[in-house]
Amino acid sequence: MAAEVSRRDFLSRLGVTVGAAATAASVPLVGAPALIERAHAQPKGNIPDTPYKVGHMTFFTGAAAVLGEPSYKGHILAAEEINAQGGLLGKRKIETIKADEAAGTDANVKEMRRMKLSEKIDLFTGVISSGNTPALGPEAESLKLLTIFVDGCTDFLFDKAVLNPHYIFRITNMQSADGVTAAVATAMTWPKVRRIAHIHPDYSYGRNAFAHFNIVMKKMVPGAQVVSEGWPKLGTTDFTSHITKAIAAKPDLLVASVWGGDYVAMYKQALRYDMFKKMKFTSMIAFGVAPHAIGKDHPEGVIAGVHSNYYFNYPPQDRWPLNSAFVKKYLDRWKEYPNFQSEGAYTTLMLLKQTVEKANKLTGGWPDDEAIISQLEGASISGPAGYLHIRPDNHQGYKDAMTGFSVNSPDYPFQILDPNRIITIPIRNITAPPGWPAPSGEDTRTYTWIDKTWPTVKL
Amino acid sequence: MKGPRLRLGARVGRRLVLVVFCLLWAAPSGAGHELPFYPSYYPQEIRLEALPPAAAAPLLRSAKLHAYVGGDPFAGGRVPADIKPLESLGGYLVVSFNSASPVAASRESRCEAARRIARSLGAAPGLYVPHPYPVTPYHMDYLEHFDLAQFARQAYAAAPSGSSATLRVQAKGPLAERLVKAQAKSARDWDATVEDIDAEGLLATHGLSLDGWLGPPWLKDGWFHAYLLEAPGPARQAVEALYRRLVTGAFDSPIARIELERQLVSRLTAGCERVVLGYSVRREYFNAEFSQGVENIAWDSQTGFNSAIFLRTVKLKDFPWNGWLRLGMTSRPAAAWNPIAGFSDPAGRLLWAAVGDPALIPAPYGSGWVANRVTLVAVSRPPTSEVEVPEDALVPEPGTGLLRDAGKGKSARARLTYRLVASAFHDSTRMTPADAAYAYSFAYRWSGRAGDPVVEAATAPLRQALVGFRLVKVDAEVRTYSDNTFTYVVPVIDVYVTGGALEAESLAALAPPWSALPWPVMVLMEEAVKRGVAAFSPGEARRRGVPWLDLARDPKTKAALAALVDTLAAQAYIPPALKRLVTADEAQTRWAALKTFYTRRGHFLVTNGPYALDKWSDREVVVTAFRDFTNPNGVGTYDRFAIPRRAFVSRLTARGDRLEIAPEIERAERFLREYRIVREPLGKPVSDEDRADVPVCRYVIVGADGGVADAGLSREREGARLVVNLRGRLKPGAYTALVALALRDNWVNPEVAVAQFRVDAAP
Repeated sequence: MAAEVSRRDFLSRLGVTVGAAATAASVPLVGAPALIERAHAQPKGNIPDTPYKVGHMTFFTGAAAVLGEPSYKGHILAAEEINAQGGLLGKRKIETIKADEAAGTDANVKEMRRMKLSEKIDLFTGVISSGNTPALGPEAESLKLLTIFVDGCTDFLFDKAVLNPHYIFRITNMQSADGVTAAVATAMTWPKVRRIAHIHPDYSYGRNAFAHFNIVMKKMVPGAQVVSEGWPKLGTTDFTSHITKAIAAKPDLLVASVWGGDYVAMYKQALRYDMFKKMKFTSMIAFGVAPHAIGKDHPEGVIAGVHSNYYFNYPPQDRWPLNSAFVKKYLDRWKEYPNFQSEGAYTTLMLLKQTVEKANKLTGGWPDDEAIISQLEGASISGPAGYLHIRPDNHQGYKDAMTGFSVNSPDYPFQILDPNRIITIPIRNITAPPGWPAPSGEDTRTYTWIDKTWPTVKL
Repeated sequence: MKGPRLRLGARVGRRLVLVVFCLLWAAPSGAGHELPFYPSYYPQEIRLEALPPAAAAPLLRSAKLHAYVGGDPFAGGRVPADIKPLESLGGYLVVSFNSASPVAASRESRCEAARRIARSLGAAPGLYVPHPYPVTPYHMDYLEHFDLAQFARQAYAAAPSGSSATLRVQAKGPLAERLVKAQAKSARDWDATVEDIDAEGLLATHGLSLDGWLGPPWLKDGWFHAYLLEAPGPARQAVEALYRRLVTGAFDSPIARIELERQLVSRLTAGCERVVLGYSVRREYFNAEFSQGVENIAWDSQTGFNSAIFLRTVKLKDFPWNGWLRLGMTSRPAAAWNPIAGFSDPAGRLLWAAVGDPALIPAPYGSGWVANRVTLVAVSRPPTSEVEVPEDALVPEPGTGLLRDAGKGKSARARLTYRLVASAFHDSTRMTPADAAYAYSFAYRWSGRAGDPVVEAATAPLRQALVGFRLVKVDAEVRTYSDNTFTYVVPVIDVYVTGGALEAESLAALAPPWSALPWPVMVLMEEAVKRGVAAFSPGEARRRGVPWLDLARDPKTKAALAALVDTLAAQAYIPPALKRLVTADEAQTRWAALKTFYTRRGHFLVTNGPYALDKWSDREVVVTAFRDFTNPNGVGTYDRFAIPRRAFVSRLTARGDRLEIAPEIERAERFLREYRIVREPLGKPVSDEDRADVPVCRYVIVGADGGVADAGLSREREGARLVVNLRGRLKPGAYTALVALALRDNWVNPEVAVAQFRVDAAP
């Protein structure tokens, strides 16, 4: 499959689109399904009025609370909307029991077990960290606990830890999409870059981003070479040595997957060296925190990733009512803009609601977990971020990957993604298809699939 | 086996370090994500600059300064909208009398004069609160004294109005000078002195940086401040017995303790020898601008921004974590930088709050203590007997500090089991139980005739309480964050103490096993003092004609210290107290690390704290975050104290032997990088978070005779009401209930509700 194609053909095959108008064409202009406004069909059979207990685990403390709190807020927003209509099937109100994911993986596994055995939760959801889902996934299977992870997006979960999931599902895009999306966006935007410098955190997230970026660049920009690598150690606050090393290599492009406060420290240090004037810049997760966390001094016009998932101004709010409604409700309720975790957690409960209603139509009464699972497998839902599909073979949610370009807008006190330059990629075109064999080493399915099947661009 | 237990601990510690290394090395690379845990606290760098208030104001406005510690740069002026104040107890305004003046002749004339002076004072709105009682709303025990404080207020209000014009009053301190309208003309010919007493300064001599021990358990209590405010003299002598009972736990119950505290303050104030007229409020400012300001702030009710909690919570708005924090402070660092009897000025205390990491830190909005580096996990205190002290427990010998076996037949009032987090020091060596043991040893060696009076005074409660200690085991705590596995080394140490009926929280703070310093730094300081290079405290330095020991700034001292390190390193020196606990190899490694550290960093201030001393000049200090992954405390650990909120009693109803309280609570509505506080009735909690927002009720029941009949804390809830059930606890009679509420341990400035009620005899 190592055929050669032109880059234009390649991008066309990938279905990459840029800008609000282009992408909006792929979504209905009017009459988009509304999740909550839809009138309730009368449920079949007797529905108990006992609360439906949901355990929501996310970061409430520590650095990752910047992701965890939006997740909880998205979850609560959905629960309040559903409960305002009487609850699931109009009867079962959602009751949330929360847990702080910062306790560490072992404690989190115990907490999941406690929630199931002592609190008798019906559904487990949330989870931000990819270190946690590979431990929580097998535990949920063993507990026979219906689980919809919001994030914890490591490919490893379904590639290695739980090869044949039954009880567990996941909403947000897989981690490998970060590197792939960043690379596709780079290849499309700056096809002439050849000399590439990298700065990534020296643990597996950084290595994953580096590997997936490079395998795509190998296919799409075959002449590109890595001219500098910086691997800041855990806890690094002074990035100057990495910045000066990158500058000294005279790259066309710097790629970074440094995140959160580390990223902010890094870009502010880079500003002192005029780094962004000297090279182009692509990041996997520059905007992968809360929207208001990024200051207006952030460089404009760089590719600022959002974990390949969602940004609040896309899909365009006038063209995709679900997003405009979601952003408004979220803003009204929480006085801030949602991030990708908010959207993921919100969509999780809406997917549950939709699934329970479908299962009720089939079975009557309150559907048991098996009935719900059967309806979750292969489910599609229109969420704020667009269409989401749950693949039946691996229980992974798939939605179009996205990234974009940073820009300052007088409408916001923080920097945003330019709504006219959003890049989207159909997720099916950048992830391994059903049946693709699980790799044996540290590679992901996506990595080996790209490596073995993608053509190479003709220079 | 006796002493070898500790040696075993040291070996276990070394093995665990290896395990940590292996785990980190072998971490799988397939399950990665963003790292959610960052040790040390939000800012990556903190710059402390001495600036006069007038110079700080424009810098705060332009966000070149994020906060100003210890002073009010806008005093009397307009404060920009983005600059916000936070308040804490500033100090006291007290009046004392010239013994040569006829006014001082009798209790009656002194009290009368104090009342006249109080009524003649000018006003300083927002800065000074007339309050003729030493326990203030900034003390957690204010509730226990509320009725007495009210009586004092009423007595002052009821006093016949008159002028103090016939009194010759002198004023000392800026607030006193502002409030005293007509000062005595002669410095020798005066009746009374009105003076400012700074709250921080009042406590300064009772603090100690060694052992991570910041002061006695009652450091923030109002009764203790009342005791300190009274100058040594007849009034102090009159309460000495009560004071001894309070600090040794010689009482039967918490109610008896409260009664003792009330008696102590009543007796101290009865003679009007030194009279508290009111208290001052410290107002400190920070920049809250959307991008350039700071947020997530906790502060101490009595020391304000100059506190460990402030530096462990403050966050730059433009950074999820990291960033460069700039703080102004009112004065240049003058006190020597040594963690024994140095860091004793405001600048020094602020610096030590960043670089030192104590065992416990003061509860920011109460009187208790918050576990920082040690956690009390068990208390064994049989109601009627003593606990046996194991033969192999170690007991520091007074004078030498040698750690002797306890031997047979020793007993203690209680056994406290602590878990310690033994993280790395700034010189990359790892803490072991020997470091904590050496801190105890030091306290005993440097108290007494050959020691230093400051060490002796500050360690007195510790030495009085400690019977012995014993290393139980060294645990490993494993936490996985993403694909990173961190193994924390956790020594478990039993500490045997006296302490009578002191509550567990107070017992825990008496003698926690901890050291903020590696033992070689303590040894180095001791050797320097022994050899006449310097002295720990300024008093001793003056007495002996040597410099006050400074580990960073005095080139001559540092040269002498460097030469000493060479000597001690060459010998792989192990102090006598640690002969059984430290091997020669270990000692060699430790000394070599200290030597290397000095070569690299140019100072000897090595700690295991969250920030490391980086640069300094005579008016500026820079510390950098020590993001050490062997320390489980980090960004967010103390966020629960940021943005303190209050709870209020909207209605208190006494129904026989039951109190019913309708509470209102404050909620923080966060949005983007801002928040606002809204007040609302307590509703039905809809989540765990809301459940944590149910206030806690403290109550004191005072009998008709003025004695405390009952006191306690209630979390009982019925719907939207809180309930205190007193059934069977009170004899028939008339009572006054004093009730206050707190959310998340915020006991500052409570609104105290009062209800009169009767308990009738059972039919």
